[in-house]
Amino acid sequence: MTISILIILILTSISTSILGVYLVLKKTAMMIDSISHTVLLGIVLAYMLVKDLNSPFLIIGATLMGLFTTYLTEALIKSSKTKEDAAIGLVFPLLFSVAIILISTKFSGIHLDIDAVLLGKLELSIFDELVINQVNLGPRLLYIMGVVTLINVLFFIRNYKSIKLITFDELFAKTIGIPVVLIHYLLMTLVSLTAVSAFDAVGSILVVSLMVGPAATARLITKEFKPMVLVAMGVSTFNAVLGFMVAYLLDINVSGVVATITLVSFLLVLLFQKESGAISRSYKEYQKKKRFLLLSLMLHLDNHQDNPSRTKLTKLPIELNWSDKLFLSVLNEGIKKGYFINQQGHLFFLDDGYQKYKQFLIDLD
Amino acid sequence: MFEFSYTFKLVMIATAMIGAISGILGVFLTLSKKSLVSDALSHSALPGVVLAFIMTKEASGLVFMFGAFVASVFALILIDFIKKYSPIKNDTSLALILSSFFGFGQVLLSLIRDTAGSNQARLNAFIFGQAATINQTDVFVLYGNLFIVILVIVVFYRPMKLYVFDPVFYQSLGYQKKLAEVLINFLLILVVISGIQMVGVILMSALLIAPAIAARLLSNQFKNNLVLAMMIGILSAVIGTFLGQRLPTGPVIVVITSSVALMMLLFSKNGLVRDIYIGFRFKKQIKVYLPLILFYETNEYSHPFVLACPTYLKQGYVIKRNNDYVVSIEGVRLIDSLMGGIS
Repeated sequence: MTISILIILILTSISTSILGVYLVLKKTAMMIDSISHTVLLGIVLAYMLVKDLNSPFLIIGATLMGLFTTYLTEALIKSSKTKEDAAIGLVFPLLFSVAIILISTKFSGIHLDIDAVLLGKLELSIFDELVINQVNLGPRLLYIMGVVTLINVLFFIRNYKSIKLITFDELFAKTIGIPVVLIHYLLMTLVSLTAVSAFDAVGSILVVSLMVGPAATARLITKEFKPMVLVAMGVSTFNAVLGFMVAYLLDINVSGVVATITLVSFLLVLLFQKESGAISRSYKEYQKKKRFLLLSLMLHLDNHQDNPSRTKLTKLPIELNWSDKLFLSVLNEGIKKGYFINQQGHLFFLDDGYQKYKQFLIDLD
Repeated sequence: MFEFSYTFKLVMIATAMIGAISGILGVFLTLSKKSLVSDALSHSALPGVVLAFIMTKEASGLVFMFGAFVASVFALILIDFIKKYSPIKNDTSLALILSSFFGFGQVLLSLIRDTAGSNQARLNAFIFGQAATINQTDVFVLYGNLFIVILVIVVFYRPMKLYVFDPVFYQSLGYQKKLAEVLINFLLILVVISGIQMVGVILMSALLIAPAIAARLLSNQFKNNLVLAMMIGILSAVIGTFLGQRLPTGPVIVVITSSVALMMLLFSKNGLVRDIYIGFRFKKQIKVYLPLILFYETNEYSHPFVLACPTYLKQGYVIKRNNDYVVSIEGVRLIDSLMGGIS
């Protein structure tokens, strides 16, 4: 049975990470945080109408609430009364609070547990089985996530070009006649739908992590749209499988582990990426700084070659306005490489050094 | 008539104080476009709280606060790190950090699920807040936090205000760039960790954002904004606690502050309703005076102008001079204001 948990998790990861690419590129990643909270109100309101926790109307209600959240937030931003982030921060706590108050007053007896909503109950989901004509077809969630994944992938393939254009240049997309608003809201509908469906599996907070994390990691790895989508799907699948194994071995909360691994994998890529990773970048910066210091010393020597009083070793740190320690390290580096020579307390170029200096100047141009 | 229990008074004092400090700090946050950082930080506090509990085996407010503090600082450093070394946009990193930290908190919670016993409830309270768990020590700590926040704001009022409005100008005056940033972040963490025990990690950000939005719509003065936000924070906290005797306190407070903010968005003197009304009136005026404007620009007697002329004459926007019609000074003034658009 554990295999179906894993499949549910992978399906959830794939369906969320596709949409995540759009959200991350559109700079509306916090919108998903907002939606994943407010869908709870949609579920509660729909439940008040139909009185059945397994009714598909709950998903519809929640999806509509997600759309409403998007619309309300964007209307607030458009009215320019509030900043973008403040609009998000105003709308979702309000709707979420209303949901919690409703839950705690109206149905304290029923099985609509806030903890389960936030954290998901993946481990329990397999016991909720789909039975048609007394034939047991396996966990219901498996089918829901399968359908959602299919919808997301198909929608993405069908509108691939439009989505790509919208994420990179919305204005241009509008001018060549792409229905930008329609596609945006359709995508937000899918985001809500996915959030609600994934809700049962992984909880509302992990949905955020699953959507944003792989897409952000993919953004680090590639700049192109198609590879980004594929990498995001790959990364999220990897995270899901690894997270599932760790959680299974240690017997701990699956969705939490996947969220943690999502962040860790992102940070690892950020740190150790070959070209633009943090480590290689700060190493490059360090190299650049060192070279520039050396160049400053060389420039000074070149400008004051015929004025021995200014190339005196003891005076150089003051001339360059460097600390003694910094000066010594640069000097030692230069002497070790054979660029300078110390003659009776004065610093002079060696041929090697002078050539290197000319090379630096050419490089600067 | 109103006989309140000791706990209720404590809770009331505590929520009012949190309302006050989050209201004040919220003004700084929303103006510097950092409101969602509070959301990220409050979520990130969870693993810190649980870790602090695991390490000390002690379920006191002070221990929790310390854990939350460390975790929030760590989250903030990570956010800055991502900002510095990657092309990832800020909101993406916020979303990633908040969900992953929260998830990690869940992992830690599930690790101790068998051993925590009665303390589990207190840890769980952090997610939604549990105002009733407050005790005398917590209130003392809150007093301390309130004092620190107000002291820092009073002492560093000028640099913080400048930074919030115009970071570039702020730096050009010779202030250290890091100073105001670190101060605001420090105060933010302080407020967040004081508040999460009461309203929970999810709703903490609303306490910071909503009063500030409401205050911003009521006044354009920074000082007034601070005072107003503080008042709104305190009032909604007090009313929320009062109503919250039967309902969950945190969500009730959030609903009240957010409703106040929404009301202000709609009905204040800078609100949406007034904007719509002014736009509507403007459109109508343009429709009525379009012939007049055309006449003024071209000096030709168009048909609509001839039709509307008697009305304009009566209103004094057009006067008769040597058998010719001329736009009067009032008329020119009206046209100028109409052509200037809605100010």
